[in-house]
Amino acid sequence: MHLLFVIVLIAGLLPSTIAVADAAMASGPALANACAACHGPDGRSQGAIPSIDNLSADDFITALQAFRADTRTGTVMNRIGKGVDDAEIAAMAAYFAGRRGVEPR
Amino acid sequence: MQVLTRRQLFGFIGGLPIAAGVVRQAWTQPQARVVVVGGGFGGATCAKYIRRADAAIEVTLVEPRRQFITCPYSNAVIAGLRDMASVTYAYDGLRQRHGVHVIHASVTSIDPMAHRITLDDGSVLAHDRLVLSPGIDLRWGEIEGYDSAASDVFPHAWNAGPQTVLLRQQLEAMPDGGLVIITAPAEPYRCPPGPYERASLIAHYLKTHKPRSKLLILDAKNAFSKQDLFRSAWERLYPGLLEWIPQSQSGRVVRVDTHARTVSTDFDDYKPAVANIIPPQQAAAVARAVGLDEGKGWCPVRASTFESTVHPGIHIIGDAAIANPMPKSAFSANNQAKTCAAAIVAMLRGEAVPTPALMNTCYSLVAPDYGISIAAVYRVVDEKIVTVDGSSGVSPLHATSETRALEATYATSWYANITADTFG
Repeated sequence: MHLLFVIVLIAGLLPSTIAVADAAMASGPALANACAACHGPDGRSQGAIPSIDNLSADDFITALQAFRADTRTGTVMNRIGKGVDDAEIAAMAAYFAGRRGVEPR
Repeated sequence: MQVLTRRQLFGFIGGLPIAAGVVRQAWTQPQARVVVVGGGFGGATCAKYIRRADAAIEVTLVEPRRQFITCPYSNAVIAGLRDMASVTYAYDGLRQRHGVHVIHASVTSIDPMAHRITLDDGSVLAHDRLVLSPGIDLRWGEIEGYDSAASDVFPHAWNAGPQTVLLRQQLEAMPDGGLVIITAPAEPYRCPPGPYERASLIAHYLKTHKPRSKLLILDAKNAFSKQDLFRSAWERLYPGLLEWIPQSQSGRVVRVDTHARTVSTDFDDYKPAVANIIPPQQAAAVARAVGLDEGKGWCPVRASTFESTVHPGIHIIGDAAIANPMPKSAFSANNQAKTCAAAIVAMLRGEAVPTPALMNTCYSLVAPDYGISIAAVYRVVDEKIVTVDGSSGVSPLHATSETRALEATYATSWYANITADTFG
């Protein structure tokens, strides 16, 4: 009884994290807007960070899944990749593929 | 609640072109109005992204300064690696490309019930939703003797601008062999790795130009962001030049005297050539008005909308908001601004609030060609922000110099991109 109480108490104090599978899915546009902070408006980058507004959906999915699996060497993308699931990667890929050749807003 | 949303109304009109003129006169509700206070990474991004999502919403940005000077890369200015013009942004892009009304004035009062704010030019702005993104105020007097006047002698340079220039000038004027002190506050404060990036880049300047000098970080805490990465880099790049003194070794500064030019902890008095005092902070005054901070200095918000838990209709983003585990960073402010913008657009249309995509990435330069990073992805659970398993982390502790150089070039690229995303 006492032990159970302690476990419940500790569980309540632990810093909360969530498995990506348990989180509600964010939309393609919402995720793509977040990407823009590093990759530039609508994914068009200035400088060394790659542009992501010129990728086919397949290339986008392949790249992000490889970063997530650590089979492709990156810097922050190996970490960011673990924060999104397959459905979200597909939604982002579709968003950026749909903006190929369109000027950033 | 509204009977017809704007979108439904125009859809309806579209089906009845002959009657449109008449129906529009009779039926169109007043244009939705959003006022955004504060034109930094949070406010400017929020204003822009509301207009991007729905150009039918009228957005007014209230910001006293005509130009915004960014804290990101202001450490490079302090170290002599950049000039002020390269960290200065105007609001032409928001006005001309995105149709944001920009008013250069300060807020004198907020009426959360009437949904009105009053500006120091006497004008009154009514709004459907108010966004506050005012950044921080420094807590003068928290360190004995450190007030606004004292910051003319010992600059804080924690709001970029004239203070940035002053600290740069003092470093240029000091003799080789002088002592530089940087004091770091306890959490929470703007830009957790900022004091340590600044120390690194000042150490780079001293090593290059004044190698007999010494830099001490006097810290009010015993651990800091990217600590292992910074400390291993310091051992390699700045041995004997840069020293970190944690709180447990009497690192917490309790008093300064700008006449005697002393900086004091409980046990030690220092006489620096240059002292950069980064004091404790709180949400800027406008975000502490009308009880939005519950008297505690920072403003609680609902994580899916960044709407105040105190006053519905008022949203708070950026450094002023309580959004941990997201750090108080430019990236966080930009990211929260997009979340808030999407929520506001949905709320004004009577639609469901979309699921936020919360993220953060922060680069720090330890030297011009040596960059390190921290990143994480977050989700909202029960209106609290939680970190997604496996997504949170820093650069590897052991990496090649090529990797460090790559992250430094990414840092520069990030800065170009986030400023384009915010002000462009």
